Amino acid sequence: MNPLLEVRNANLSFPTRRGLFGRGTAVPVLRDVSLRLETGQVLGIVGESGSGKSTLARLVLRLLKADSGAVLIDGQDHRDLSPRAFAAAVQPVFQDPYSSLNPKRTLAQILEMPLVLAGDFVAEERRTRVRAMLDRVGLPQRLLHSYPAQLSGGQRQRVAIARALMVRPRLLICDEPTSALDVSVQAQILQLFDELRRDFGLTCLFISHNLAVIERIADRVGVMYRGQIVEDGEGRTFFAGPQHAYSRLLLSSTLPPIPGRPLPDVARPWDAN
Amino acid sequence: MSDIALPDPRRAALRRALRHGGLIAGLAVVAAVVLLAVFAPLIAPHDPAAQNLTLRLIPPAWQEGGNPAYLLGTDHLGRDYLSRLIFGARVSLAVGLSVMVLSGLIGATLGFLGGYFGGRIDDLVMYVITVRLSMPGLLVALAVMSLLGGSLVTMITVLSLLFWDRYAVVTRTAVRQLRQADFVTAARVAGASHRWILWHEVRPNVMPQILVVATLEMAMAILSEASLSFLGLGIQPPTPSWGIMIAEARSFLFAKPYLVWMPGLAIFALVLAINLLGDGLRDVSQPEGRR
Repeated sequence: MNPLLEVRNANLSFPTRRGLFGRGTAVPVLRDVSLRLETGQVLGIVGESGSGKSTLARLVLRLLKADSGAVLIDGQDHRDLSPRAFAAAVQPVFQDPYSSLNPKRTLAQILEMPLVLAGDFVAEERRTRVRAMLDRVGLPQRLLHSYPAQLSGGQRQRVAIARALMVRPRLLICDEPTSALDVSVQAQILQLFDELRRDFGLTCLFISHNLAVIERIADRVGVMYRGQIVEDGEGRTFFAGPQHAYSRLLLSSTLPPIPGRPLPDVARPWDAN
Repeated sequence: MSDIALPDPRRAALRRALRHGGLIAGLAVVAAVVLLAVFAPLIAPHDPAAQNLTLRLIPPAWQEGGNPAYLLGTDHLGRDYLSRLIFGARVSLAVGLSVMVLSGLIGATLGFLGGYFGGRIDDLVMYVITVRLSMPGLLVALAVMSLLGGSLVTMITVLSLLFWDRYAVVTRTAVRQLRQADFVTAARVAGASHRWILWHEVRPNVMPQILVVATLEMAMAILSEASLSFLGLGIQPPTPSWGIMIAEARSFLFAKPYLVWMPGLAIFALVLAINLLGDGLRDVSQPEGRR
């Protein structure tokens, strides 16, 4: 059986700005990235800023094009899917809930949008689904006609998740969905993810630099470093004994709330070349 | 969560609008001028073009020698000045509104295209904007009008083709920022076409800025019409236009100053009112983020 998401040897580089005559050089951002995500699993991607996590998400979402390699959704190259078919299969949740909701549209309009674009729902059905989804993500019905500016960050992120789930996608791409929220709200959103995962049988590519979040939610963990996946394994095994030197550094870099613990040593001997 | 009703943003905006003195004053004056222009034939006491050489240069009714039948006096051809002022509002508003809309369409379209698509399209749009900005607007208008001859349609066309630059610059900048927003990306992934995104996601967020530019451009167009008509290159007599009225009264500036300051005051009041309206709209319509 095909995995739901498979990335095969993807390479992607960004060109540096060219002058009128000079040729720019290319900065590699993804280097030979391969991964498989089976239906029902949550794959956590961790790594420091600039390691290519978000680029990987944008590649899967077809917002960027790989220089070489392929992204397969259920065995089919995602470039071959129609916009509708792709939207029905893959949906994103973004990091910043202040930028991901249109400030000029009400929640009802925002949540209806994916259904309108999908095109096979009559107005009555759309309204019913919007109301049901509002309940499902734990937002009161009275917010239906309010604007994003009237909501808190946590509420906004619930709306963003609801919007992604409106078309019942099979794969959710979450690019740091909790990093813009404060810790207590983070916990609520993760709780919601747990519930939704159970109810919808979600498969999820979950990107975060917060290892605690990944440990909580992911079945498998991929560690990205300088555009490569340097370690990929079961979540439990990974947190028990990371293999790659960078993974160990990453794990020791977190600052648990233990008074008196010194800052970790973050030297990178393997980068000496 | 308690069941406290959230304030409806539209109603909140209306409340802010009603409390905004400048907005209300501007709106009142503009509305009054619009009503005068629309119902000019019903309101004007005389035919604005009817000459009566026996009744030349009658001063306003409150001055010595004034005639109550001619409230604001008559001009050098014995035409009722009040009626001419009322009919003159038609030209000013026609030019102001048409130029505002037409140049807005040109400028906003260019701004949307350049700002949203970026790359080569944006380079082209920027090039066109730069070319336009390098031309002195009123001088070009003068030259073209003297070549083609003045008429209302020519004037509107020429001014519309010249005054879209501010729309284009403002729209382009605003759209460029919105293009990066995650809600645009979300719509994109949900399968929305560029046209859908521009109309449903981008346009509502740019409208307030465009509206403010629109009021500025309308005031600008009205002033340009007055200037061109004053120079004899705009609306042709005997059509009453405030610019023409000032031009015709030039020779009586010292003997009959009211012939100059009355249309002057009319232009000043309308332009000021439109600017107040624009400032007010800006203050009232951009509350997102601050509450």
